[in-house]
Amino acid sequence: MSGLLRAFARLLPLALLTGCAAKSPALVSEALQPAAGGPVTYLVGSIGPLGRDSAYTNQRILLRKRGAQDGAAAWWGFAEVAHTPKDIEEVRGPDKQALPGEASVFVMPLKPGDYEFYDFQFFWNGYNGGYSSIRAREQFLVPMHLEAGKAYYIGEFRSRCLGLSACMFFHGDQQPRDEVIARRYTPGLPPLQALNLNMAPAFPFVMPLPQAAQPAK
Amino acid sequence: MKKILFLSASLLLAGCAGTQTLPDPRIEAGQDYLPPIAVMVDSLEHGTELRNYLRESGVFSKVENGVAGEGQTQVMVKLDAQRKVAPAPLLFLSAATLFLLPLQSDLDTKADFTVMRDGKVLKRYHYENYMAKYAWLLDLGIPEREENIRRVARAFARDMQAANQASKPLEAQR
Amino acid sequence: MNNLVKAALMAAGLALLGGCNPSMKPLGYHAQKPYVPMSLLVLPDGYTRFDVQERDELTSAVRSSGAFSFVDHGLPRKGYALVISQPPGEGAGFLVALNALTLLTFPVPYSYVHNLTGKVYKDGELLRTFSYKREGMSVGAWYVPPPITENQRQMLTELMRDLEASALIPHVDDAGQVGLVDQR
Repeated sequence: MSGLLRAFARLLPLALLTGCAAKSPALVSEALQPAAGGPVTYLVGSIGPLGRDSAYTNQRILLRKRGAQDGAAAWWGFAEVAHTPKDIEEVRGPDKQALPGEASVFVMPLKPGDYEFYDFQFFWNGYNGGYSSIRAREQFLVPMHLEAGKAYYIGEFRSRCLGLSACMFFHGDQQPRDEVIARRYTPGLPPLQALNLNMAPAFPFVMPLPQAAQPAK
Repeated sequence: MKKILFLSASLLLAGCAGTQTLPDPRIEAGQDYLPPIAVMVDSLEHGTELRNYLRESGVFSKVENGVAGEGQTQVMVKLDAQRKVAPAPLLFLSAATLFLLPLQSDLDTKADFTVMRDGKVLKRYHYENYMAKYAWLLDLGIPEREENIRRVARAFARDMQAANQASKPLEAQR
Repeated sequence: MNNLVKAALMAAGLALLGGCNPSMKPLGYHAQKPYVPMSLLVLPDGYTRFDVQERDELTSAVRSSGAFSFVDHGLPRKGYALVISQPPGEGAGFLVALNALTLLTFPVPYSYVHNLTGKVYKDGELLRTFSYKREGMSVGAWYVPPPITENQRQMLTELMRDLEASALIPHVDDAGQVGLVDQR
């Protein structure tokens, strides 16, 4: 018995530390993962909260293969157990009270084809162990065509919540900044080309980033 | 004795998968998106769900909620989704056995789609999907009910795509 | 005790309990002509059992008035919509909850304020807000039915009457929605 406890005591810090390692911000379901040695297309971008309001919680943008239920997601997480890397940490702006936001850069390898950005999700763990989440009730459709051997930059998705229930993403362009970080994760990344998606269908859940909120590069 | 128990158990478990009369409609991939449609569904419970499944079908470039603008296709849906659950005495009996007794949990869906443009009716479609399912233990049959509505939405999307293809000139045939 | 007295007491008890039926009675309004296809959104939007039950009660009460020929869910960008919400008021407080110690037998009084608003939207724009309020005093005990259900019923009735009188939402014309309703 004491031997078991000792072994457990030795393993526990290791287990805790491994659990604390950052998880990849790109989640791709099995059906959409590119086959080994097969054609690959990459979707690159960044996601995270603009500031430390209610948006400072688990959030993701959801994509799916057109006409199918197979999905992929770009995710930003902040929790003791699961979190994504702090690739971007904002410099404190002129408002000294506002705590800086963060973001993770995601590089999503996918099977080439037609995809749709169709929903998002914010979720909080309740104080009593409950769980609440927000999704768009009426989903939207932002189609994209991803070809093999190419890497596309979808943009940065920075979130903000007004209160608890009105959460949205601001869509901006930080390609030079995100490309550097993306190449660190995936050295063999093909040259990044801007996807220039029309996010109008996703209004009011996704809005263009207001110029004043552009952080220092 | 063991064989009988095993057979009856596997029969119960197998029989608990839901069956749907409408097969999963096959939608051709790689076609152009159809122009935006505005959909109104006469169902407070399933309206949003149906619209989301129409979006998921990948056929329409945009599925809006509400009234269509000028020149835009309007789809009015009369959705009659009746849930048939086991009568209360059976419900109590099953509860007494901790829900080991499977309970009927059916969903009969009848849907009428009316496609209009600028106030004129273009076409009507009618779909029926009867789902039979025995709910058992923790299996409440929720995915099957969602699948029921999903197939009706996909059937309409498939037919709209086919109608669009049929009305295109021959050079569009790939 | 005499059997008859026992039966009488039991009957009286059941009658009292029966009178405490919490579900809403039908509205005092019945529509002459239904509205054109429109959307309805009943708040609160929550998914707790209480929210769902309350939402279902309000929705079925309003639908049973026959005012809707075709009703969808949500707030569309184009088209008519009615949003029914209940702004927070006042209800039974902590003292009444404490009354559970007496099994809700001791009559603990409380004052209440119940609100109900109906907002009419056209093409996403707010046309008009109808607000209703009910105030009063009640008692938190098992033998006194809570006033909220009856208040909701009255306020909904007023809302539906005012909505018809305001003529903001057009009615289905006498020819009927030939294109929209499948005449089977």
